[in-house]
Amino acid sequence: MSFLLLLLAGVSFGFMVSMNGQLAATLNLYEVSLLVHAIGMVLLLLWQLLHRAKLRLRGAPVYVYFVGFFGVALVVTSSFTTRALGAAAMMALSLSGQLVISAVIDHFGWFGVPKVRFTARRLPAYGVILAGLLLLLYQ
Amino acid sequence: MLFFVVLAFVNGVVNIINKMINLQAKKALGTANGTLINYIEGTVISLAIVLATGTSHDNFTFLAEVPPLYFLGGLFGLVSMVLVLAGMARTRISYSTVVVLIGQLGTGLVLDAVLTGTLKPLKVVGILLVIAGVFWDKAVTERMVGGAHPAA
Repeated sequence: MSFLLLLLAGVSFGFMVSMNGQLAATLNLYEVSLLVHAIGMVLLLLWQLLHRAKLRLRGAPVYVYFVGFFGVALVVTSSFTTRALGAAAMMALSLSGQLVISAVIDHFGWFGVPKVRFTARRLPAYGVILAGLLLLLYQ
Repeated sequence: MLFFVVLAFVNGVVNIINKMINLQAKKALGTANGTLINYIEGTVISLAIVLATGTSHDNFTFLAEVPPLYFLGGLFGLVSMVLVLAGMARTRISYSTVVVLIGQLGTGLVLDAVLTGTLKPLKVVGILLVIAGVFWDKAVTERMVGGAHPAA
């Protein structure tokens, strides 16, 4: 079940990347970011309104309220590094960062997730994943 | 050069931390209210940067020139966020990350093939390798934890 949810999440993200790429022909990066966030915000507010749901933004851990800065940091660093390194190298490095931090979060059980230790036995599988990613990005 | 290499790696780290923070927001406030924080702040901060750095156009009437289809990017982004949080809450983070990548990169591959009319066979091999690696890792970790933790 979660496999399907996550796969569809990725598919949806892929469509977003493609459409944002088209937007980037007329808009700069920050304008694209503004548009994508503003549309998401309006859709969420409409959803709340339609379901007569109570708007509640207080009560989450303090660091949650810095989430917007992380989002914008992603946009800015993607832009700078893509320009400096090229799209393929940037993606390869960024995806490596994603794989490493995900394994670290699982290993230490950060954010309250169940601990799944990273052992040497998982390395060959990770090697195959990395090889696949490099083929995808550099072909 | 090294600076940008490190920065690109950090970009990936921040990407996942960002998802983890949104997951905590969802746990505390529910999906709609939790993700709304992300979108409100993203809108305000992006707007501030656009106003500070100057827009690529004189005013916001340029929005009328954008083909309506491209605005769907915002919808797809939101759908992706809601689905990824639903999926992440039920499984390992490392598994979530790679499955999302399979969907994302696979979609990019198909869209490229449709738009350009060409498909590079080695790219298909690449995505098959990623899928194989994910299931191999899943099998290894499930043996390790003895099936105590739901992997999928």
